[in-house]
Amino acid sequence: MNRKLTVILITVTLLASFGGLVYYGFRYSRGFPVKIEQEVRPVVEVPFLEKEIDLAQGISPEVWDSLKPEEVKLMYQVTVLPWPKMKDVIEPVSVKAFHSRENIYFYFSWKDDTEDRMHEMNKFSDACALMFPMDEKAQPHTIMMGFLGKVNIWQWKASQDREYWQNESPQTKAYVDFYYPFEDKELFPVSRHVSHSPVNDLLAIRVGTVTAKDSQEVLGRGLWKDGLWQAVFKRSLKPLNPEEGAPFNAGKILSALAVWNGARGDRGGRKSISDWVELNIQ
Amino acid sequence: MVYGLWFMANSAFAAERLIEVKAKKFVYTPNIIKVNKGDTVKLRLISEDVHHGFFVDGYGVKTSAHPGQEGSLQFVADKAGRFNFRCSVTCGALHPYMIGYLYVSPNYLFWGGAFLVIFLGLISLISALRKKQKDERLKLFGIIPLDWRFPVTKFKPVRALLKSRWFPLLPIIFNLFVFTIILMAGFIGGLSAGNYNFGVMIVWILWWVLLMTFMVPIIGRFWCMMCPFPLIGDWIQRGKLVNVGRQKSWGLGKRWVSKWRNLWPLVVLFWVSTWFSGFFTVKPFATFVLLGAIILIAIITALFFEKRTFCLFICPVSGFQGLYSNFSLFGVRSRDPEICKKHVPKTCVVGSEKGYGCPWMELPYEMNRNTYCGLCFECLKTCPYDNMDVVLRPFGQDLFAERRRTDDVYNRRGTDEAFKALTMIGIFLSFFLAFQGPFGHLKDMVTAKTFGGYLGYLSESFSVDFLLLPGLTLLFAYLSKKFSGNKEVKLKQVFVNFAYCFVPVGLAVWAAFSLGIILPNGSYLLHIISDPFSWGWNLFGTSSIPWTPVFTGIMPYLQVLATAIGLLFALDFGYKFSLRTYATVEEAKRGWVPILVFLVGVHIFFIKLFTG
Amino acid sequence: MKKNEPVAALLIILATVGTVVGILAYEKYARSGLYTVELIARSPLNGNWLARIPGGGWQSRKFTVPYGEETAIRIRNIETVSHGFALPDFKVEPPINEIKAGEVKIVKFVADKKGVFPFMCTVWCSNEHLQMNGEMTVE
Repeated sequence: MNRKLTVILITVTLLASFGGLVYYGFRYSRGFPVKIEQEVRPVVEVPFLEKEIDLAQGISPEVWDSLKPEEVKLMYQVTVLPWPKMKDVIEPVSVKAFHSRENIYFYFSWKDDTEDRMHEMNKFSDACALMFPMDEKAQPHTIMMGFLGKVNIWQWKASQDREYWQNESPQTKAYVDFYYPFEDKELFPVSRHVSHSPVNDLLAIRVGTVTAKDSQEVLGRGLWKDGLWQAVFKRSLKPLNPEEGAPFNAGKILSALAVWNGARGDRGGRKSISDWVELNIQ
Repeated sequence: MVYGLWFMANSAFAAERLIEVKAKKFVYTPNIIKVNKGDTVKLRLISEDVHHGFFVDGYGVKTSAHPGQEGSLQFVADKAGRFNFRCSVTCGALHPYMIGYLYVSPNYLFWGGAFLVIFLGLISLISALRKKQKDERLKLFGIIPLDWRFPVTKFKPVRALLKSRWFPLLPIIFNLFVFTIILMAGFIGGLSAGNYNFGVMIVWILWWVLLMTFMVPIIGRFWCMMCPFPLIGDWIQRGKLVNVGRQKSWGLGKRWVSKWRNLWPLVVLFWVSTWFSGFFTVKPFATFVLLGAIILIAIITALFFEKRTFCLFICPVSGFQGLYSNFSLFGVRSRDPEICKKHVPKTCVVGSEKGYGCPWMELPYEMNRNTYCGLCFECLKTCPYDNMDVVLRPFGQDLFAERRRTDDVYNRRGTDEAFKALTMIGIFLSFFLAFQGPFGHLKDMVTAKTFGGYLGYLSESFSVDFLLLPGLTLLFAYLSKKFSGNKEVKLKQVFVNFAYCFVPVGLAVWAAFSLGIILPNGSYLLHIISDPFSWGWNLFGTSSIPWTPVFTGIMPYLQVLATAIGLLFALDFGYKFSLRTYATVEEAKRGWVPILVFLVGVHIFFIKLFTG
Repeated sequence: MKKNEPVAALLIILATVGTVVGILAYEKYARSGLYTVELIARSPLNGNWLARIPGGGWQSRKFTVPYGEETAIRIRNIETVSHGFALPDFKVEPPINEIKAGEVKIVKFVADKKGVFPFMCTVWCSNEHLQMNGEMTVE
């Protein structure tokens, strides 16, 4: 009887200590207990306003002043060396948007000490971009510029803005910007089509597939004042071809932002990007 | 003209093949690439989740792709055959098993291998048909008499070593040291990469491969001899570590249920442990849990049951080692049965002051099969007449050993061993397809990505192991009985006898499987012995050696060779089984034909698996 | 013969307890002083960056280094996928492209600026890759 009790006692002790060890091990199986900080997706409200903006007249600050900005945090895209020499904590971008049932408008503003509208050797233009997934596959998290599915990208460039609105011809036809989002080797395609809009309306299905659409539907205009860039995008709410342009149906859709600071050497894949942002179209 | 050019481009001229391969955890799309010999393969690799690589076995070329960046690879497919392409950048738990197949036609190796199998089958058939009468003495391949034996304990140092009480305790203590590191690495490693973890690598790459290619086929239960797991249980039962303590086990000392005093518990338990193969072979912590649980069960079993009940009837890896060690070259046997007959009481069973009575509850004095001999050498120590020997004999001697039936003797031929032999083939199939096959969905099933998929894997494994393979064997056994015209012999007897053909076959295919694990992944071992915990150590200066697959070009040839050797033994043994099963040579010849066809068919399937 | 038992017991204790203690001691003493901060690289859903600070204790995604001194960061990738490390504001030696699964790397730099600086993973490691970043304070 005594031995039986001892045996059972030893067994229970062994089982309990092994159980404890397994429990501890599971908690520390990732090195340390996992604490997940879920980041909240910023939501940009896209209200209906009975207003239209004629970009030829400017970006109409008075229309935008009435809208509440949504601050979107940007991250420098670090996947390839070298990183830029100077690098500060990236300023967030203020985003606003509305639609007029005819057209949809987006407004970006971000801090940039220098206005870089030129595109020359070793000088790069400031720019910003919006990306809309066109494919269910692009959904859950990634902002890898559609490497999992089709996306529509609108890229506004200060250099093209100047050429378009001030009717100047470009000094150079060499662009390095098309390498999206991580260029392996930098290429300088010299015979790229020269856009006739400040905004490149692009399609991509994966890295290295960024292609200008046949129909360039997006218009835009930028304004640099006192160390602040403001850029506005405009497109008709319905795309010309639903296969190629982002549809803006009422409800929530995803979008991602990117900003290039030319003075820092940003071009192509070197840029600041955001995670998904939700657009709530009313 | 255009048609002609097209035709020529496809056949006569080497073509340029542009292939885009998408990689994601843990599958390539396409997972099977077919080119012709001489083609220039231009490959673009795209990753859909994390950094993946692409290494082509045999060609030794590789590339890798970060998501968003492409990898490219160009090579001339100048070697024909099937080559695995595999991930070269650790990408997740199942990384070492992320594989696709590159076919460079014509596939000479497959056709050659299949031809070899048929050729061996024909030779066996002809030699069987030419046989006029039963042999007096069974001879392995007609050359080596199967009852030939040579006692290695004739050499004095060998006998002295085996009679020492420190042997096999010292190897056990060494393994205790190794397993302490393994358990610690498994515990600390958590859910990190298994291929950089000492525990996972030593157990599932080194130990498993050594077990299947060397230990079991040559020395039998060599591992059981030096396994550290029963050490604590032994100590509790005996009260002594080295010296001879209690003969009767401390604890409750219960007897294992008579109904289960056979291989059935191990058949089921090993199959059950393969349910978790997708975890413990890749995740350090799962390895820790598995090994820890086995040690724990070993101790608890020792508390409740007598002697080595754990090793005999519970340890999941004991079953196949026992069965397969009947094939092995060595065995513990008594020399002169007359001495044993007169020896009362039999110290090899009851023990003496020199050693314990057989902890494996065998009757060493009349043992003629290896299934339950754990090579603890206690009987060598206890025998006062030095009548126990370790003998060298031809492969497979024990497969022919019969044993009389008594209540205590469980070491006999039977359905339990037959099922063990067959389930091992089924488990090999599941393992090969999941870990060396190109099928991503199978890997998802095995690692329980979805519960439904996991249930699918379990039921599939059950149907193959317990229904399909035994069913096929039974079918051919039935055909064999019909063909033979013998009405006396029981179908069950025919089934059991021929199932033993799968002992050498199982060893061969597991050896071939092991080659597919160790040759591509063996180089990780150099890393982990220098840095066992991924702490940045460099004990032996080898921790910076990158992953370097070796002999991947000749790997399929070695696998075909292993399969052919397995078949060679199976055919030789099979005909001898037939002669034993049926009354006359004529019956045996006729009864042998269906089994021969079955074995040849199964082996063509294996060749297909490895090369086709 | 009588001495056998204690010798065996000693050997067994050495093989088990001795091994564990030996390994932990070796790690503790051989490695101390080699680095200022130890960073554990994990994907965001598995816990994100984790830093062991010199005084002891662990902190998620944040660490502090002294101003003006050479700092060594020991980065351990304890996961099954590749990670990277970038501290864009400083010249980090040696530069790191990738820290493969199970790899340990030590990088050095001189903390010659005061302030808060971001560090981040540079290899696409999971869907949440972009959240795999943290802040280093120099003071």
